[in-house]
Amino acid sequence: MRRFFNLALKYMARRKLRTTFTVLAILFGVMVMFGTWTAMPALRDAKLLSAAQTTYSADNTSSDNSLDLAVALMNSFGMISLFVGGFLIFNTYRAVLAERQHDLALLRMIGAARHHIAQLILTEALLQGVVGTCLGLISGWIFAGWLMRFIYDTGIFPNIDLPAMSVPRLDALLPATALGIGTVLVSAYFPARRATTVSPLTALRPTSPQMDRRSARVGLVAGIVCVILGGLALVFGSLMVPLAGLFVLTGAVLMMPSAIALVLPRLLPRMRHLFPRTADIAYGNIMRQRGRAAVTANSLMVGFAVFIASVTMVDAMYAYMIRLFTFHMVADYLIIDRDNMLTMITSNMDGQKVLNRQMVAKIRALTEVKSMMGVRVGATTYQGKSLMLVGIDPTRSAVLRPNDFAAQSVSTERVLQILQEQRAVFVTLQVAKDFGLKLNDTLPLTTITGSTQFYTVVGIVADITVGTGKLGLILSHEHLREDFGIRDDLFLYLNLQSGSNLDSLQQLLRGNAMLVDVKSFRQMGISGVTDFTKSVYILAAIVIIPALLGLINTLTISVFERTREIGIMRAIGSGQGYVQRIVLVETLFLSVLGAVVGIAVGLVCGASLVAMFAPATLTPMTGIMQFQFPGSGILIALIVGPTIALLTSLIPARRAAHLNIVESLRFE
Amino acid sequence: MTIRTENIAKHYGGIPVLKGINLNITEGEYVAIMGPSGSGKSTLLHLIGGIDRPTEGRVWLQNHDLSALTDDQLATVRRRQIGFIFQIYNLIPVINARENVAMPLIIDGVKRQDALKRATAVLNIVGLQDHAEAFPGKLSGGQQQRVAIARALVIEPSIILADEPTGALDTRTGDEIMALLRQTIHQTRCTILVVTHDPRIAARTDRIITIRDGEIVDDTPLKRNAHLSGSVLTG
Ligand SMILES: Nc1ncnc2c1ncn2[C@@H]1O[C@H](COP(=O)(O)OP(=O)(O)OP(=O)(O)O)[C@@H](O)[C@H]1O
Ligand SMILES: [Mg+2]
Repeated sequence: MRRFFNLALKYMARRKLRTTFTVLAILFGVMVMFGTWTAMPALRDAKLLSAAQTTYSADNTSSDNSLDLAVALMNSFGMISLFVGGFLIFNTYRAVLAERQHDLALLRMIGAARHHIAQLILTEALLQGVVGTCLGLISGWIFAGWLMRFIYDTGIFPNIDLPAMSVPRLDALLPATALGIGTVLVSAYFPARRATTVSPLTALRPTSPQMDRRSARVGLVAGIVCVILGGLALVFGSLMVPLAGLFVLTGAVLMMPSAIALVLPRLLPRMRHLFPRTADIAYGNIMRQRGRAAVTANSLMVGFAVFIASVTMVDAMYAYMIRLFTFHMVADYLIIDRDNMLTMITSNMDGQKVLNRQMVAKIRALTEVKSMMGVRVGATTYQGKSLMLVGIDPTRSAVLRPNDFAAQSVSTERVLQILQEQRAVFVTLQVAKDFGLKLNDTLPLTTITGSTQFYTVVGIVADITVGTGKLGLILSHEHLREDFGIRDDLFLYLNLQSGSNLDSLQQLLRGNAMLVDVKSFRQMGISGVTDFTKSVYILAAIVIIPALLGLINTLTISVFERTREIGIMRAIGSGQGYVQRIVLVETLFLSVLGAVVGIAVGLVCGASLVAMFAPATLTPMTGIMQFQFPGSGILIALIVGPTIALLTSLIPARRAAHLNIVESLRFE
Repeated sequence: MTIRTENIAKHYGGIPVLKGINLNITEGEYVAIMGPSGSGKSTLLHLIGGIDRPTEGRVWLQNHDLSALTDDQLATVRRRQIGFIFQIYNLIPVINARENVAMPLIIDGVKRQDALKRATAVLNIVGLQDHAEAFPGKLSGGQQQRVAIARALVIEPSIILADEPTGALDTRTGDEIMALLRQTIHQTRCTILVVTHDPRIAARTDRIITIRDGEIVDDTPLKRNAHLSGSVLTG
């Protein structure tokens, strides 16, 4: 390694812009990872601490996963930014090495063996990796502080102290460092290996060879295979779903050179119309270096995809959480196990703690209580799939509105009466659709004893107050107990006599269960969720920064490679503005392509992210988190994306325009 | 170092570019290769220098069969024995003249300081002591070519392969460059092969080999240096 240290340094020093952007890409990846890995566990520890201090029950061994969704979300941002960073670094190295092919061939000619070339490239990568990672760790530390304060300020996780930042956690520091440097080395390794196969003869040709047709075709085939795999993963669902996004993203990346060959000729007439003097040259430049152009378009594409995926995820979460806080609460108060309150948005039904039966009886006996209804939850299987059962008390039917069954011309009152009298259920539209249920269907359900009982569907309701979306079958407490053995309430709706004192109620709850004042809870919740969403948007934006860096990088390289040519054009009389416009029109070509593909890929990635997190989100109050079409996000991406791309490309464009004619003519 | 080619042929996509070249060049010989454009001169030089492999036949340097060497071994031969000089564009742009000259030594594992010291010495020989710190982009064509010669000389090569080294230079500068090369041959036992279109340059060598359509059509030892020339196997 040592013998190439100096040459590597020289390349870094003489190609400053490129080095800077590569280092910045690493920096951002490491920053987001280290930041989230520092902040989120610290918040979780703080939360655990506060839970330990406030819970009276001796049984506090069950792990508290209240922050898990948030942690998982943040971590996935870390991973995404690493992936994006890695991808861009990989692309950058590929472009850099293609540009440097002539030099490498020259080194081969004067006697460098293949492993020497690999050493040179890896030395440079290592240098950049170390610098980028160190800077990333420092920025990540600052970012962690900001992130913790931000989340703390949203109040979405109440009762915790803001964790102090003292020493870096090893479990954040080590993986972030390893991943930072590792990603760079891995990203550089493959282009480096390819570079070692450069024939010394290449040194004797004036221009670097173009991307050959064969590798474009291989890319196309591999890309199509990836996209098909992604589609299959989406369709066949379950475990494969998270892979769908990754497959489709990879497929799109591989197919980009072919997409350029396919789409740009069609775009050309329109561009000619808009930019009569520059469209053809820009088009020619792109087609001549299709591999390079594909790298540029891919940087943009990945940026768009990440943004749209994040926005999709955030929109789904936002809708889901808002549903949690705005569900049609039929009562003034809610009583729920303290842990459930905090895990309500994150935990699976299995982990939910029911309310103590004696406590519920005592609450019911209180004189302050005007009315009360418990909601119970069980499970069964139907046609091999597990199905949630939600028990309500038909005599205290506060979960329904009078005209909920208007579509079936039945009164709500009547449905509730049937629920009491016989084995009957009603369902939400969503469940009816998912399981193919119709009115008056008879469902054979497996009971707790393993036998089968038949339940009739007596109503389909658009939406009920205990939730929307994929709920389950709603039946009476009575039958839920008889057939499925569920006797305890998950939570209670409560109305109190006006002007009553809460003391005796609080006494009964004794810190095990929480009394939630619905109105203030809702207000706090909504503002918390909104703030939290904002912070995630900011993260999404941060993840895009490496994509922009990649854009600058590849464009700079393509300008650099054309230095001589630009010199000639300027020498024969092109103005600076003209040269600059060519680069901008190129960017426009590529950003339109990148945007369209990126949005499509982003939607798939977003859907697969949502699907990945969804199973952890099922609660009776909210239903499951659902995919939301991110219309506004797409609009933002379409307008802001190409604008940012154009602004970003001003850097290389101006560079091209301001090249010194004499110097570029003697440039090699 | 002696150079012997044994019936070498080179095809590009089935089209023969060289058709059975047999050549014997003795140590210390100074040989010009001439011929019309596209006749295969550069190709021959590449095969002898081990940066390309023949489709058929063998190249022997001293007693080593190049076709028996691995890629890495060929690279070692290049950096220890062979100095290449080409028409233009053969310096690394991000490092200065001195570092360019030192590069083959550095690749070979010579300590950086020593390599740079030797590079400085050779740069003095080619008259570039004042431009040692300059980057290739700031040097004139002739100066760049001197740097390339210095880089070829720094390894004290057994063979120098030059492909139209003066092609991009004016006559006077070209003469100076060639004078430098000739000077080298007087001081060492280095074999020199130079591809050129310039009859004046060819006239100053020991022997002129002419290639047409991939075949040697003429091989003339020049009288002045006849005592140095090698035997001619075929014509
Ligand atoms: N990589 C290649 N692929 C295909 N054909 C090639 C390749 N390299 C050389 N050729 C062909 O081989 C023939 C000989 O080329 P070569 O470069 O050896 O000629 P030359 O004698 O050096 O010509 P010049 O005097 O113009 O430099 C030419 O017809 C050329 O087109
Ligand atoms: Mg030639």
